[in-house]
Amino acid sequence: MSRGPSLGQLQYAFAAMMQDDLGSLPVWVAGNGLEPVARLRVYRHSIRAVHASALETTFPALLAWVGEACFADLCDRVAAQTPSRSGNLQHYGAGMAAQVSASAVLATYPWLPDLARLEWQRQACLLAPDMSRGDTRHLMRALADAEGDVRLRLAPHVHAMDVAYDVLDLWRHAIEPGPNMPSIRRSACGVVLWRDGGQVAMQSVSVATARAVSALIEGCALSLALQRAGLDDAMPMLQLLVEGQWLADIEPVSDLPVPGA
Amino acid sequence: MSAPLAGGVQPVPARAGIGLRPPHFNHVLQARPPVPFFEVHSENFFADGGPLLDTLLRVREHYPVSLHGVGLSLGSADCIDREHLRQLATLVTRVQPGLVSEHVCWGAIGGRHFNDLLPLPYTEEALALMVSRVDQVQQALGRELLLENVSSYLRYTHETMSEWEFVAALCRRSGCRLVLDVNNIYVNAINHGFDADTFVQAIAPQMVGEFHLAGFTAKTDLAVPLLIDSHSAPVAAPVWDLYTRAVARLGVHPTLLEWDTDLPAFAVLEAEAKRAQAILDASGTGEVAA
Repeated sequence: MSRGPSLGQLQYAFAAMMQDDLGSLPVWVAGNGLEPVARLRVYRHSIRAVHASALETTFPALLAWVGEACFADLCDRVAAQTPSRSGNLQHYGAGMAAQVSASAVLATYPWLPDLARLEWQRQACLLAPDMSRGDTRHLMRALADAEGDVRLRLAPHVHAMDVAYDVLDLWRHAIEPGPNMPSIRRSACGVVLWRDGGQVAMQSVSVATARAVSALIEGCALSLALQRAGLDDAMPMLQLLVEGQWLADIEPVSDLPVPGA
Repeated sequence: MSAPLAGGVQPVPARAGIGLRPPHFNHVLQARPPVPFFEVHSENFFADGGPLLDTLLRVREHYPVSLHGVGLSLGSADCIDREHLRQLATLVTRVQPGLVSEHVCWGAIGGRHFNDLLPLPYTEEALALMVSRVDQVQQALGRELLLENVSSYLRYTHETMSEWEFVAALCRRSGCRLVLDVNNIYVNAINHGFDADTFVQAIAPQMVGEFHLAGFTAKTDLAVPLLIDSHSAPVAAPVWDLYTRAVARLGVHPTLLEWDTDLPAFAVLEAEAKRAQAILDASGTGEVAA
């Protein structure tokens, strides 16, 4: 036995070890026939594997496209740049798309960051809270009767994004490879994601529609959402929201509390 | 949002259950195999809805469930993650599990999570911290928390007690009981050179709430034997032997067969659980744990 570090000192030293700074940690580890560093290496490997496994679960299409070696490198970069901040690994991986963008090796595959963003949105969709659907007829009537601006509250599992490449087919090909390789084309489009029967569903939409849906999710009033997206006609988007049963509630803007009042 | 299940807590029987993982969800829901209980990792069901929670609640309609957490980091020198604890409490209210458990370990510091079960130094400081954390969690959940002894690959030079002294003292001081992981005892006995039966002998029967069994793998490229608690293989012969002796000494308790990596067909897990059940049956009559 020797006079050792406090629990906090020991744990911070362990954290530093994970960033290649061994510091005093090996002195506090009993070798028992092995170099302390070799024992610590077991934990480094284990932690790396746990985090990589979580990312493999969240980004299966990205893994399929880049291969195991490249994906392992991406996992190490994510761990170094955006380490896990939760005891729940379902929330780990927000930094993946940025690491794909920053990778020189992957620079010739400029659609991969969009694919990574798509998979992160799928994860968010999967984990979103449940919410009872609004009565469609009632909501449509409220929409038709609204005299001023309204705020449309969407089901929490509805997500939208716009992408520079049409990556839906590329995602599907990675998950269920077909005989024909999908074409890779730079073609800005929107994607709406939602939960349907326990699965994440996805649909291509116009960029403007995706942006308008994103603005609604952020809490913008309908008029502001349309303005931000550059949409003149709200009907196609409203039809999409109603048919998908994604509308949870409609609130007149005038009834909402004025911030700061 | 899911309402709490009607009927309240369904006790976990003192029989051999199986760790339920996503690849087997459909099989269990469709075939309803005769398994006494299932245990799941709590964090996988923290979402406030969605298909995973829905699946767990459907499983719970037909089976007793045990919630086994891996991310609370009870032994961290930082404050406990209150949001994590709140989510666990919400899940416990929804699922009404027969057992709720966590680990004697730490896994996060300074806001950085390693998402692994890291070994604590067996010191008075760590023991006092764990006692206070167990009390905090039990207060938040309003029920008992079981704690699992973890496998480890290193020991610290400044420790003042053995692992078995530490966990026994934790039980005495906090009033909690153990998930006694027999595989972890065996793995640590090999990795740190002690007699596994010494550990079992230090535990009193009333300290045990559940047994865990799993498979390990051996690292062969090192100067000394090192076993890794990989949960990727059948339970090893010496672990079955140790489990038999543990049941004989500590009594019949719910026993979980865990398998997480390279998950085999469900029938393989059932066969392993049946072997554990045979050992329980040979030792005495089953009793309800909670």
